[in-house]
This record gives sequence, structure tokens and C-alpha cells, in this order.
Amino acid sequence: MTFKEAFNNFKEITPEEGYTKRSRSLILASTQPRSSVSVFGAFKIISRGFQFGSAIALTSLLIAIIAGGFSILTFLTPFSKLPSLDPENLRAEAQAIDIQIKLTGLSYDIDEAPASTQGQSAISVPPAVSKIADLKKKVEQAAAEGQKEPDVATTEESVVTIDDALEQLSR
Amino acid sequence: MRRIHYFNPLHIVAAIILAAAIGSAIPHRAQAAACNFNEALGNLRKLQTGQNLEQADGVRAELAARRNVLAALIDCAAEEAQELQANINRLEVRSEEAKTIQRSIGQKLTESIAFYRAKRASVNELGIRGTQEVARQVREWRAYNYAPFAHAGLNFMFWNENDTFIETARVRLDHIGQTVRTFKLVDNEELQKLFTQAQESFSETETLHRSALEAIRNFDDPKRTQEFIKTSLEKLSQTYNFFFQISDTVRTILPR
Repeated sequence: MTFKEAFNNFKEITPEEGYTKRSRSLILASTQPRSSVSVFGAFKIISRGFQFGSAIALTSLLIAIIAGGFSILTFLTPFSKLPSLDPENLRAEAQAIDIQIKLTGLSYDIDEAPASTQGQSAISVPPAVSKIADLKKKVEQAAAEGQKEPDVATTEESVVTIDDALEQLSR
Repeated sequence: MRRIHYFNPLHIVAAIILAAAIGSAIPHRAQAAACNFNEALGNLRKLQTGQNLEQADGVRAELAARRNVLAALIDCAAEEAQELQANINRLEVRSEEAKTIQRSIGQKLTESIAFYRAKRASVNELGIRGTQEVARQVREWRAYNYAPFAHAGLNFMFWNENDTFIETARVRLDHIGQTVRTFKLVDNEELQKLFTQAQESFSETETLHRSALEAIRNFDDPKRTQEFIKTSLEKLSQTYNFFFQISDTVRTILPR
């Protein structure tokens, strides 16, 4: 018998009829695994998703608390329920007032107007509104930079005022 | 009295934002550069010394220069008054009394602008002596007539901004009072004392603030008005010092 003939004989090999019947019965009688797309399976997937998401969220919160130097206890004290006494708000309002005090003090000096001829009290004209706006910016900038006093000295060319120019023109 | 200083940059930025939100922004004058007369006056001085000019040409040149400078000066003064008037008209005022004063100052500035226009219209008709006389008149008129109204206008702008700060403090004082009552903290002697001091300080602030408005309305001495404005702000600052102390005291009383 050649190898080819022996190989072709394999086609004729079949299981024993009794063995086939027993095997079929056993397979049909056995418990089948549940489908992965059943309701319970979907619930399990969602549940696992939530667990994972919660873990990420809690970790992020913990990092934010540690990195931000933030105490959750501040939200739990009765003091936190008193916005009217919140030091942050008070500071913002008090400093706006301090800036206004500085601006009022620096804005202008009221001088006696020189060379009055009518024998009445005359006063110098105050600076223009735009100059006070410039001064306000300087005061705010000084406050933002933590300087006690703003630098109000100007490096620009000294400009003759309207009244000084009128005085020169009257000669 | 303990003076509390806070210089946290974040708080200052917040204060600036608050001040900006409360107060009206004052615009820059668009033509500020046009009000620099240094060069024009320098040229006039050269002409007056007669450099490189025959006598007749010199007089004509000096007259033209004088008219130009005088016209520019009056234009600039009028522009300054218009700028002040525009800023005052733009203010949002809370009381009817303040609105009346706002209109009154606006009217005085309208009269001032009319004066400048009348003087400006005559400039091209003037001789050298005329330019000298008009310059003197405008200068004196500004010192005696315009300056008191201009000061009143500026003081009113400051007063109106302070009015908003004071209203904010009033609301805060009310809320603090409610807090003290709600949490039954009135039995705390120190807290009660601080709250009374805050009320008294705020009351003085309001009195001085009213006096400032009264002085502005009567076009009183601007130095006096300015003093009322400044003192009322200092009293308001003192009121906030009491608020800080109340805040600190409540923090120690309430359970943590």
C-alpha cells in the first residue's frame, strides 16, 4: 500500500454510531452560557463604567484639593454661610476706597490765582478731566504693584498751561 | 485704633475691577496734543525780538502769530469745558437732589462754553493791543468765573463715585446687622461694641457726604468741598476697619 492509498483510506473513518448518539445527548443536555448582550450583561458594563469614572473623578478632586491648597472644611463651617463678612469681599471694597482717597488727595491743589486785579478771591482752574484720568491709572497701577505712593512725576516736556500762556500773551 | 493694611495684589486687582465697575471711566481728551503751546509761544517771542524781519513785516507777523495762539488757547479752553460737561452729563446719579445739581453745573458750563465762543469769534478782528486785552480778560474770567464751576464739576464727579461706595457700604452694614441678629451674636459684648462703632462711623460718613453735596450745590469754596469729600472717604475707610474686626470676631465665635 502506497502512502497515497493509505491517506485516501482516512476518508472512510467515521465514529461509532453509539458514541455519536451519546455525545449529541450530552451536548444538548448541558447548560448554555448567557448571551453577552442580555440586560444583566449591559448593566454590568455600565456599572463597571461608573466605577471607573468615579475613581477618576475622586482622584482628580483629591489632586485639586492638594494642589490648590484648598480646605474643604471652609465650606462646612457656619462662617462660610456669612457672605457679608467674607474678608475677600471686604478687602476688595476697602481697597477701592483707599485708591479713591489717594486719588482725591493727589488730583489737584487749589491755588490762589496769581495776578488778580479785581481785588476778589480768584482760584486756579483745575486740571482737565483727562489729566485726572491719567492720574487715576497711575494710582491704580501703583496699588496693583504694591507701591504705597504712585509715581506721579512726569517725564514728558513741561507744557505751559492755558492760563500761563494767556498771561504771556497779555504782555 | 488699629489700622489694618492689606496689600495682596489679587485683592488690589479685585478692588480696581470693583472701582472700575462702580465708577465711570473718564475718557482721554482726543486732542490733548493740540493744547501744547510751547512752540507757538517760542515763535512769538522770536518775532517780538524782531529777528530777520523788517519792522512792518515784523508787526504783521507778530499779529498773525498772536491771533493764532489766542484762537488756539480759547479753542483749547472751550474743549476742556466741553470735556468736563460731557463727563458730568454722562454720570448716573441716584438721587433727584444730585440730578438737580448735575443739571445746574451742566448749565454753568454751557454758559462758559458760550463765553469762549463769543471771544473766539472776535479774534480775527483784533490788533496787537486787542489780543493782549482779550488774553487778559479770558484769563481773569477763568479765575473768577470758570474755575469755581470747574472745581464744582470735578468735585461732583468724585462725590458721585463716592456715593456708590457709600451705598455699597450701607448694604454691607445692613447685612452684617442681620447676621449678628440671626446668629444671636448680640449678647457678645465685643461684637456689639464693634457693630455700634461701625454704625457711628458710617453715620459720620453719610453726614460728611451730605455736607459735600451741599457745598457743591452752593458753589462754596472748593477747598472746603474737597475737605468734606476727603474726610467722608476716610470715615468710610474707618467703617471698613470695623467690618474687618467684626469679621475676625465672628470667626472666633462661630464653631469650626
